[in-house]
Amino acid sequence: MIRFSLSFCLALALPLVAHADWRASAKDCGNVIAAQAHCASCAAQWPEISRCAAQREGEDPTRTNACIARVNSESWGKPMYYDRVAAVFACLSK
Amino acid sequence: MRRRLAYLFLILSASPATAQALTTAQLQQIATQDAINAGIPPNVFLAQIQAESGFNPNIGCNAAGACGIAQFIPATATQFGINPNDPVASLQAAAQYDAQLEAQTGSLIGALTAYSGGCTPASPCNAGYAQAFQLAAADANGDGDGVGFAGGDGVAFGDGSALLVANPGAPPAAAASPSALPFEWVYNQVINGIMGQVDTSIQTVESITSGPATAVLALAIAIMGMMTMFGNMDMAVFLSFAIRAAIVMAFVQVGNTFYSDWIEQFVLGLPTYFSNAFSLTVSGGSPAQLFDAIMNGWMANVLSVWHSSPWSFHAIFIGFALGLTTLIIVLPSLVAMFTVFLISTFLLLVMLTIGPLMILGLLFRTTHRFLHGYVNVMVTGAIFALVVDIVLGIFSSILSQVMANFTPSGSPDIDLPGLFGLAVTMLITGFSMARLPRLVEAIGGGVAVSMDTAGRMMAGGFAKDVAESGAVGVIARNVL
Repeated sequence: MIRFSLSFCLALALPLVAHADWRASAKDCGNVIAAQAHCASCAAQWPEISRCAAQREGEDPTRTNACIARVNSESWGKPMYYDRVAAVFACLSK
Repeated sequence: MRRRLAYLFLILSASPATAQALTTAQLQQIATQDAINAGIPPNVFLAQIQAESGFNPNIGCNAAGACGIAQFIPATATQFGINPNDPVASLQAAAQYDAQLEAQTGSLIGALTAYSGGCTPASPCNAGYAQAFQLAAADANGDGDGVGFAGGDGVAFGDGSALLVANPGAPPAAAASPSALPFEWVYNQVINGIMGQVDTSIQTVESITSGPATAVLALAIAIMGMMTMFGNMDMAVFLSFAIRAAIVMAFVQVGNTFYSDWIEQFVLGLPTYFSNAFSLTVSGGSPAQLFDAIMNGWMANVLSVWHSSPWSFHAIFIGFALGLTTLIIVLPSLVAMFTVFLISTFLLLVMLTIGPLMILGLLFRTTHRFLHGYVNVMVTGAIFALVVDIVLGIFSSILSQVMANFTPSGSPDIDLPGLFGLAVTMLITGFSMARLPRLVEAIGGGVAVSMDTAGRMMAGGFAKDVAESGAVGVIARNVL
């Protein structure tokens, strides 16, 4: 019974870890920051949204800032629709 | 069954949703009109939308919640009562919003900063916004494009002329006719249209795949974990599965860039690499421009010979022969070659898009064959694209030389052999390209041996049919 419960809990833990849903945090942060900034696209706010979401996910602020700087330089030539927040979290996951 | 599916596909293709799909050029035209209607400089507005979305209307929403061509956040879309993924409504609302912000902040630069929530000339967010700020500054200084805005319902140009603007609610004018460049138009519709959506499509497939993959993995690990604990499964097998699962999740997890970095960029880089390596674009443009140039060059030569013929029965015979050559040899050869090229590129892009889904095949021994078949098709597709590009490179070199040295002399009897020689060159090249799929099968060797149905379609079926009997023939045979 204990073995079965352990396997079951492990199995449940996997999707929870895999879907450690930074996207929900990013969306919440986006709503809050957009309301404060009174912007239409709020394209310039992606670093703030990334910081906010990363903080909620318990990421190290120094690493977050490093990833933001890296994404900022790498995405200079890309339109703003390019998901820079996702790129920051991809960087943080490495 | 196949006929019914093909018929269903045709009906879906002709649906209003597809008919309403707009090209980048049409969207830019709409944006220009919206900017004029709102009284803001069109060049600045075009640069701004380019910076926001690259005029891609099918980008959905990003993690921060910005959606569509104007990258509206939900609050802004609600404010204007529009669907942010509707490109026409979004462009109109964005232009109006820019005008409002310009009135509030007192400058166009201020409007761009307010719209984006903080991009400034000193810190412009991206290259596109940097250009938009430059154009806005030039417009404010009066040294830009000579456009002065009266605002409201008209635009006064520097030379004193004026463009009266239609009612704000009037629909945009139709895009310019592409009939002079048919191959380029088709290429833009099919390949550029897909290329602009590859990233988004892959993200969508990853989103679809990631959920079930996680559930399947959870279930599999639970079962295997129990079996291992009870001694019914070897630990090595369990660990092997865990490693495969980790690889699969790395590729299909949304937000992860492994697939983009290792697969997508490699495959998308192949056409450019081939083009550079084999001097495909001798005429200095895309492959589609090459076909257009050859077709237009041929027509110009034919018309020149026709016009230089004195009016006689002999001239009528010459005109008839040239017309027949155009219809039977030149146009079918060009269309066949272009179709082979288009299908090879199209299928490669489609296969690239569904990659995250097929990678799931790595998980279980029984599903390996799916991934195996997929990799076979991808490799065959890449070889096919390579061979097509080599043949096109040779073809473009020969025809460019022949056409550059062909000058109508004014005497049809002297010019005709040259023209027929040109037509025969096209025919031989078209015939060679029709044989390419079999050549690819031979080159593919061991790789192509185990190709599944899709692989056969690419290497030996559909493309070959189209090349040999033309797209109309294939549609007629399979649909009607």
